[in-house]
Amino acid sequence: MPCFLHTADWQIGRLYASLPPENAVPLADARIACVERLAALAAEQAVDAVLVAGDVFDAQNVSDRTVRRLFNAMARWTGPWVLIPGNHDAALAESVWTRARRLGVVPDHVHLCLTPEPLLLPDIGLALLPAPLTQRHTHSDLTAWFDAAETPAGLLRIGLAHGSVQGLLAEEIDSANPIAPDRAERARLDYLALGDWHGCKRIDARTWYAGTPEPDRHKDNGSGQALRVDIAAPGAEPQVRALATGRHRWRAIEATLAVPSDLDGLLAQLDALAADDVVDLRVSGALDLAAHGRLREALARAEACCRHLGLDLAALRLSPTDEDIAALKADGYLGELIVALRERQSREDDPAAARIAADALALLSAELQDLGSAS
Amino acid sequence: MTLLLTRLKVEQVRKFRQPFELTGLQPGLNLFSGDNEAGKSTLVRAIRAAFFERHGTNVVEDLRPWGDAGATPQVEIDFRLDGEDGQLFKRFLGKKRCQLRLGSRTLEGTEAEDLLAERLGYAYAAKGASKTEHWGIPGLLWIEQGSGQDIHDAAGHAREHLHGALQRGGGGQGADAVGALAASAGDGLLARLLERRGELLTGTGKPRAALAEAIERVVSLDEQRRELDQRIDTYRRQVDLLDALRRAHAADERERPWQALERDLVQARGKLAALQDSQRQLTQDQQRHAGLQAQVGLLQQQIQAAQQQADGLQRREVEQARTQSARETADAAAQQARERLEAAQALAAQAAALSARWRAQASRAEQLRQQRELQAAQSTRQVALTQAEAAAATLARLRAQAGARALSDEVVKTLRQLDARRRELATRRDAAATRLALDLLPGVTLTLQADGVADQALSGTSRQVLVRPTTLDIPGFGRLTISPGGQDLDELARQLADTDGRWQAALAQAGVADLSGAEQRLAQHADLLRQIGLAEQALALQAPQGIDALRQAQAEGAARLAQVEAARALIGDMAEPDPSVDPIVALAQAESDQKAADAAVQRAQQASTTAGQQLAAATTAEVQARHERDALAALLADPERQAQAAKAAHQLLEASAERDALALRIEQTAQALAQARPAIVEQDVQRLGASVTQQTRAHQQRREQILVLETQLAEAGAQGLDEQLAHVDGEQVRAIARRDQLQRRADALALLCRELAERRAATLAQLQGPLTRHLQHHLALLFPQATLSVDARLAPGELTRADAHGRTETGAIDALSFGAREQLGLIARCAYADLLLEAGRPTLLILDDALVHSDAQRLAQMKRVLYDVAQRHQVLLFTCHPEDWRDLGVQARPIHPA
Repeated sequence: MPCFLHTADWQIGRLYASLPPENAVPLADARIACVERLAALAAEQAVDAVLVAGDVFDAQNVSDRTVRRLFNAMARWTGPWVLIPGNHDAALAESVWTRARRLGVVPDHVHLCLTPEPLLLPDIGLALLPAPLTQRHTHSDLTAWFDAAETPAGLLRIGLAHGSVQGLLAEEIDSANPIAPDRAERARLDYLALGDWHGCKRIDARTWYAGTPEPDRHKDNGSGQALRVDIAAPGAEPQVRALATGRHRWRAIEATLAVPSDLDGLLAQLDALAADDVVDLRVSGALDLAAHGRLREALARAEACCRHLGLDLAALRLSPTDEDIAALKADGYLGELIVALRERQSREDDPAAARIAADALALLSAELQDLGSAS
Repeated sequence: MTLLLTRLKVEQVRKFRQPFELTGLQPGLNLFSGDNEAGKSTLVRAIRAAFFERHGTNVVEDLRPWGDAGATPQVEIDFRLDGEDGQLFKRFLGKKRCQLRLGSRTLEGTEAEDLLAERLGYAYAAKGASKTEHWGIPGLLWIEQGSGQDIHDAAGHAREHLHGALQRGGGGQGADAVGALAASAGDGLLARLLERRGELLTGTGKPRAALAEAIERVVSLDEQRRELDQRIDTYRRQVDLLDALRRAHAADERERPWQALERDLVQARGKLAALQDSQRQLTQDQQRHAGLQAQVGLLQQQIQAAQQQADGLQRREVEQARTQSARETADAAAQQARERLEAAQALAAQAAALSARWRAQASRAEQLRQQRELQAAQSTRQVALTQAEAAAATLARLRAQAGARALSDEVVKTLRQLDARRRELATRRDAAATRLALDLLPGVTLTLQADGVADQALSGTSRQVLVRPTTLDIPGFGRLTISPGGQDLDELARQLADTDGRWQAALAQAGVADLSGAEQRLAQHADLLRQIGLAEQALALQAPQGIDALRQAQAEGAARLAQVEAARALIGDMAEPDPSVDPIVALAQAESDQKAADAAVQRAQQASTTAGQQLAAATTAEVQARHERDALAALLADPERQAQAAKAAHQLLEASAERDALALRIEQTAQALAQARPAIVEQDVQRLGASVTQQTRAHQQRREQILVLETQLAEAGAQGLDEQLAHVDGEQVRAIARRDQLQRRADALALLCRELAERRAATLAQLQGPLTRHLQHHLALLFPQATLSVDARLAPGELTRADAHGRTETGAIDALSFGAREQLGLIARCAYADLLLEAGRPTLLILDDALVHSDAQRLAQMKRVLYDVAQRHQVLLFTCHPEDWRDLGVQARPIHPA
């Protein structure tokens, strides 16, 4: 009974360059480490093949070193790997694939399907129908030829494509590279392995997006998995099982601080962060001086313990209480200014002025606290 | 007027070793006068010490009188404070004590001191002597000698009190004392914020340092990004181009479009070759046609010529007949001319004979005449010749004689001179010579011998003059040698000998024996010369041209004569002419006749010659005409010639036919060629050839371009452009974030600095208001129209007033003269006093020797100020110039230690 792993969107070479290098480099390396895990998984699961549905590379112009590292990572499993190009690594006249071949790093058991023609693997009972992207974007359905493609009887007909299934993901995905939603049925496929959508998604019993095996977005959509597909015989319904492959947890945390206990909840979340968490934190609302101090401390702790903590506190206002102001010994015209800033930062008619006022208030508070602690 | 001193007593203080007391101090102005060293400043010092120094301090040694180390300075001051009477007693250094009575209370020690300090607004030094910064309000109002101008520090030290006064007094307007404190804290904060702002912004608000760098970094990353975008775009376009090229190349490989073109090219080339053949044929035809045309022409000419020859024979028959007739006519004419010539010649011969005869007659007569003349001339010349020859002989003889006698005057003259010299020398020698007189017996002969002279035999009587050593041989006796002793004798002898030599030589040369011979010969020669002259004249008379010319003329005459005689002999004997006829006239007639006969002969000769020539020409013409006729006739009669003519006619027919056929073919071919457009076909060949080349070359180039692109792309791919772009993107995101953070911080800082500065300025202005008012009150007395600003430290800032020209000028008071600064300092203190008074603080003005640097006019103004101030405050004024203050309305109280 043939079984294989279905994965896609490895996006090797992705840099996360907007993160500081100390966080970006490990995250980039994690994508290659994930391929190593896939290889290990393939061995562990004793599958017959691994199908990769496009976007193996994040870009055509990744460095030679990156190309070599990928194929090194795949070397852990010597069964057949079947790869098709996606929109990020389309099989153009000159592409990352031609380069890989020029570099001589593609081993025999790795099948690069750069042209739309059947790949027959009778040893393991598979007939693969690939729909490689040969342009960056196409507006025709590259899987159309599957319908008329002849394959030997007795082999499973497995489609391999990269694009967006029409009508289902229209709003989420670029309408380029369309795939007919009933392709599996029309082309009498036993399974259609899809890539492009980074989450794991079932289109129908025979049509699946595997999602990226290592998450790369702050979106909880089932990424970080590969699909193990078992098909008893041609025509039999596939048994699809998701297997975890991802390492990092990408999380987006949004908190609106309105009442003091809101902060407690946020702090609890922050304190729960672990080493593989990649967090995007947005905080809005208002804090008094003491609460602000607690938040700052908690953020410093969290930043030290998780992989990456992205912060957006632009919408967070500092709102010193009258007691705060008294404690700052800010009286006279200084006191007047603090009151004025406090009022101004809440103005909604002029957000720019409000933002400056909030910043100024925070600054002033910090300075006064410094002065107070110094005296 | 909440503080009023009423009595001051000092004891053992500097000048005042003994107790000294000032009583009855009045509210308002109190004037104390005293000379230098009288103790005015001591009193001021005592007041300060009483208030500012702790009674327990040991740093007031200066209070002790000089040289009195055991003194215990004490001060006692009675005063009235806020309506309560009080007394302060302080004793320093020994038995230290401080006692304060105030109203009903009595306090001792530091408690008393602290109370006073708080009420009066000053502080104590924590350790050591009290310094200006502790003095507070009194420090401001109690002006030490020479420090009236120094207002800023004093005002600074009293600042809290002034603030307090401002808050509590009329200017407060709702703010409280804490506000003033905050403002002072605010200064530090503002300074700090400004410093922070300065880290990001320039004074004018432009980005600097980290902010400027962050902005620049974003710009630079933008640029990098753009460049990378461009490179990636180029890369992508090259990839697309490669794809397109490969497709095109594959299509070419498949379709090979140049092959069809090559087929077309072969076809066109074939067509062109055919056309070129056709063209060649045409050219050949045209050449052949031209040849035929020429042949036809030639044949036609040949036939025509034959016809013309046939026509010519007849003409030549006629011509031959005509020339024959002409020759016969000429023949007759020639015969006739010859006869006429012969007749004329006969006549001419007769005339010539007659003429010759007469010429001979005339010639003979002439020769006879010449012969006679010649003979006469010969005989004349013979006579002259004879005489001339005789003259010439005479002349030759004379000349020979003259030559023999020739002697020049010069020679004779030389001889004369030499003779004279010789005689003179001989005379001088003889005079000097030794004279020897001899009178020898007869028969005795002596021989006289001298050098160079022949021996001389002497006998008888003689006189000898001896000029040289001479030996006289006396036979039988021996020899006597006489040596003349004259000194010059030898020289004279030598000169004489020399002159004698020359004399002898000259005589020999002249060929004479002596001088008289010479003279004679000179006279003979002159006579001979005269005779020669006469002989020459005689000869010239006979033969003026010379005797030779005469001889030649005579010979010539003889020859001529012989010639004439020979000629006459030649004529010989002739018949004696008719004497009646003049041979000359007859000769002339005969010659004339002969000439006419000759002319007739000549004419006849000419006519005969002409006739002969005409005959010759006619004969030639006749012969030629006959020949021509005969030749042509022979030719025409030749059968070969007839055959040729027939052949030519035949050839003409054939050639014409061929020519016409060719013309037709030429026309057809030319037309065909014109329709086929060979030039266009040639262009087709070129075009197709170029197309084939272009197609194959394009194919080749495309292949090369593909290789180049493949290499370029392989290279570019290895550069990881997308990775670089992602990297730059990330950098950019971070750079923008940093820039925004810094910008926000800068904005916030700018806002804070601005707002704080504005609020601080507003607060200050609020505080400064009452002070300004008080300042202005007093300032108007000194400088009408002027204003004095108050700075942030509540000290006088800038003075604005009208200058001498009515212009407004503004400047810091530090820039003013010392006197003016002192005046303004005093005015400021008066204003502070008023302000403090309003706030209910104790005020007392002490002026120690104030305004000494003021001129009379300013001093007068200042006195008005002081008088005005004294209406509200107690003023203690110490001076050493009481006369300056007479118009203050108070009596000066003299001070002098007891």
